[in-house]
Amino acid sequence: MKTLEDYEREIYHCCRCSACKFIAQPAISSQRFSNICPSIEDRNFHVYSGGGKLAMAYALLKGKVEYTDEMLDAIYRCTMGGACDIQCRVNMGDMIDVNEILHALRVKCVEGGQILPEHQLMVDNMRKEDNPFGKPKAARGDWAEGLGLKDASREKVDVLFHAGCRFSYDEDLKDIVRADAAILKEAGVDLGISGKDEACCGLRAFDTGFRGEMEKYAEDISTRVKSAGATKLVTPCADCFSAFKYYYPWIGVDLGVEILHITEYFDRLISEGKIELRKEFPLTVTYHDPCHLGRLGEPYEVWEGQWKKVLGQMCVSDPAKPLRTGVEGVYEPPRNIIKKIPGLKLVEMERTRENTWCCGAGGGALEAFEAFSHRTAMERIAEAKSTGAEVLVTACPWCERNFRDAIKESGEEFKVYDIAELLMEVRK
Amino acid sequence: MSLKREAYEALKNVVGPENISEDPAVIQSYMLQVAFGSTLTKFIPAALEAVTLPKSTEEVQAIVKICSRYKVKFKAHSTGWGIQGIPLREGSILLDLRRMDKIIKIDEKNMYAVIDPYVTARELQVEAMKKGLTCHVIGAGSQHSVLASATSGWGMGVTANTMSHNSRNLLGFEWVTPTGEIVTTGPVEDGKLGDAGPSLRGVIRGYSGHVGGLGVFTKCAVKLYPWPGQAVPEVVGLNPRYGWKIPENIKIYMLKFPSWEKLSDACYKLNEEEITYILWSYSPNNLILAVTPTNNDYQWAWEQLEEVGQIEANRYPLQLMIVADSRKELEYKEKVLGDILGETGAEDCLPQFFTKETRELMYALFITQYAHGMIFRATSEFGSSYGTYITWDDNMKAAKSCAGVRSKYIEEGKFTNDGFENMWGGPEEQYTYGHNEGLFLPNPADPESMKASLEYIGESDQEVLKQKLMGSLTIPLVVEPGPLVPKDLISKVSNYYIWSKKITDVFDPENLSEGTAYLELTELTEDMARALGAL
Repeated sequence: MKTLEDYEREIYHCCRCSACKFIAQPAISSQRFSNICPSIEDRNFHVYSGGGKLAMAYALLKGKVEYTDEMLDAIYRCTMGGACDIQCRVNMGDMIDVNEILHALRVKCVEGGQILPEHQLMVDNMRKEDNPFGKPKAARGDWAEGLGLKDASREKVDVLFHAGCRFSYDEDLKDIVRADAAILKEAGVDLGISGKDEACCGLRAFDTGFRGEMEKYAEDISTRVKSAGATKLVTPCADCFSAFKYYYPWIGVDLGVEILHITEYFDRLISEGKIELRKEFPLTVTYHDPCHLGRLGEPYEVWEGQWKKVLGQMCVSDPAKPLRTGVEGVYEPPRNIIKKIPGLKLVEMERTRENTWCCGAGGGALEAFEAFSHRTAMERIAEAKSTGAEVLVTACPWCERNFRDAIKESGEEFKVYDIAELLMEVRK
Repeated sequence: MSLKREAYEALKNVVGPENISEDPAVIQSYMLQVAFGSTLTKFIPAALEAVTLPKSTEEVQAIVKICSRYKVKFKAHSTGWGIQGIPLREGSILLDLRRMDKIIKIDEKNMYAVIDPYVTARELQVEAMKKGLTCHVIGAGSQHSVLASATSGWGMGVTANTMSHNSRNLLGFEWVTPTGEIVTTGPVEDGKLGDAGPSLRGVIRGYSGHVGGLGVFTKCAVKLYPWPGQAVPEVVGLNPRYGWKIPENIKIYMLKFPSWEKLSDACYKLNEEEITYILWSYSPNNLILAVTPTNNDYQWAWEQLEEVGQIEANRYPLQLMIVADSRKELEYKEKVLGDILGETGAEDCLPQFFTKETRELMYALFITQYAHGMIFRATSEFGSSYGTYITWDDNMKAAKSCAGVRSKYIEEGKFTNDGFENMWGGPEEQYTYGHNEGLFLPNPADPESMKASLEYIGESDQEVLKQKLMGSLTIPLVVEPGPLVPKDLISKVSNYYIWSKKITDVFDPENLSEGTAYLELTELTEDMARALGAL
């Protein structure tokens, strides 16, 4: 993995156009919902934007700044949702990998001891109990009690079902992950879980600059996938999906199996007739695209090339760099499911797909800046309400937890469903 | 020279502690800027001491009065793109107007809007389109501040043939003068009318604006124009090249002509007939930049086209759009257009590129100007030279004469090879004059390239003046007419900047409000002067 110093040429390429602050310009449908960066929306100084952080990183590289509380606030008050990265592509193409640079900046901070105590706590929890909450590892598989799922540590399975930390330990969300597994089992899928042997995917650590932790977890799951003989790794958690699909390849780990988010698998099974939708569910819903399922759910291709000049002074990548634009993420399967459920009506928000507005939970923001995280969530709830929808549907437990907590704290009322909860309703 | 504690505390009391910062990281984040080829580096030495985020006109006024009391230099910016938005004099403070972002009013009947500084062109456009209207979007693109271009800077874009130049779209403003008075004109206040006849508009902005040197504009009223397209255009395509579905009543033409003279003739004839909504000339390299998502794609396309002589063959391009409210009107315009294009030898430009999908891309791009930052993709900077604002024939003359000057820099490898002219310009108001500037692509990571950039800007200015063509007036870049532009050049453009400075001297006797166009070497630190190529 490259260091921040390795990105100096890219950082210098920033032209300060502010594309990183807005959704794709031609896709803007209103001024109200034109913004895409929760950080600068919250604090307004340019340093909080993707481009602003690049300029700050450049100043750090050139010895113009030293770490201060304000600087660390600007670096860490960010959900690492990848919005700035893909918006930059419109003007800059492959010239700047903003997401990579922001991660490199955090790694530099951690290596320099500039760590927020909340992030340190989270990582310490991971080191002790293999989850960011510090809950007992031994209890990790308890969510599956009574479902009769195979133990993938002991038996061969076709599908290794990875619940993820949030679903494994969040009592409020337990029914969702139980439903996910039960539906797959009923559809005839040969699935198993690792139970207490399952560990974190490590993305939260990686997102907060602790690169080594995710490397460790990647190796762990790689071993478990192989020993289970699985051909598919399926997860209901968007963060974990992004870790497997995007971030593990970035650090050079290929899990060697088909990686599916639960919505992709459900969509496939519904099309094959293996999941029946038995009842009507009349409801108007809007769907929230999780960052890690969409723009950070794209397959990642490693580039180990160089920059060179052609046509005099034009900068090109050699060999040509893959262009990540967010469009290859998982957007249609959840929508297909919604559209196939009888009685459900889908109304879209303005900021969808690769232009989605973050729920606010990622990148260590929830852990260290809860108020900012909740404000970000409520901005999304406002957008959801503006569609006239009765509920917001999503496909990530971190989004769901943050939306639910933010709504409760605000005193407002609005229901948040997981895709699995919709399926539960129509399969009764 | 650091900001007095007393002054800082006074500013903090106005905006609140969370809306002011003197943190070096916050300040440095504003210093990676582009300067259109007129500096030696993109990372400008920080001269400012603090950044404030005012929320209202009252807060802006309070800040300006504190600056006046403590003799603190200041500058305001809206979206802040470009070095002209950053204070360069030591000890300055910045007013970042991001929190002032309301569209206060869109008056459908009278076709104008009243807006705050941080309303971007696209944001105003999208709301106006819902009412069948749109605004002029200048070449800076969809993310720029409409107020900034209307009140304080330059401003034309590809719809200038219909929507003029933003200096002429300013109907009124709310202005905090450099000494902290508030002046309001035009329909910024309900019930007040726009200006007619001699007005303050000429004083506060003239042609190219005072670029922040006349206090702070906190609101403005701008003209809106009829929008013939869909209220909510249908987005097609994928990131990074989105397009819009082209409705039946709009047609886009991507054309080329056999010579500059024929291209000029066509423009004159088209404007006599007043049939175009958009009439603009992007050079082939800019069209290829628009269509290709990466520099690798651009290189491939460029080399393929160059090999078969297609760059040369498409050297005189023109893009136009016609719109109509009825089928009959469309038929009429298409017939007139066809006749004119036949008389002037027009053909399709790069037809292999302009498929249905790329036309949809160009449609979205023309109307929103959304990907104008792509010109920075090649090297992270672009330069702008000569800059003329004259009759269309003379614009073409300027383009031709400067092509010869810049070709040597391309041959020496100091600029990107982007063709013969790399022109960007078009007529205004269906008339005979318009704007043109010569773009070029230097590399700010290469000191030799940036030295060449400064040389070429000077040479191209001299070249157009030698041809007795009006130049150097159109883009008030940093330190024009300060250290980098010779005083004899100013005399050839009617001493425009000197007259402008006389105006700012009246309103800002203490010289606290910084206008980028009036910097003198003595006002800059050595580091800054060096970065600007003045030492």
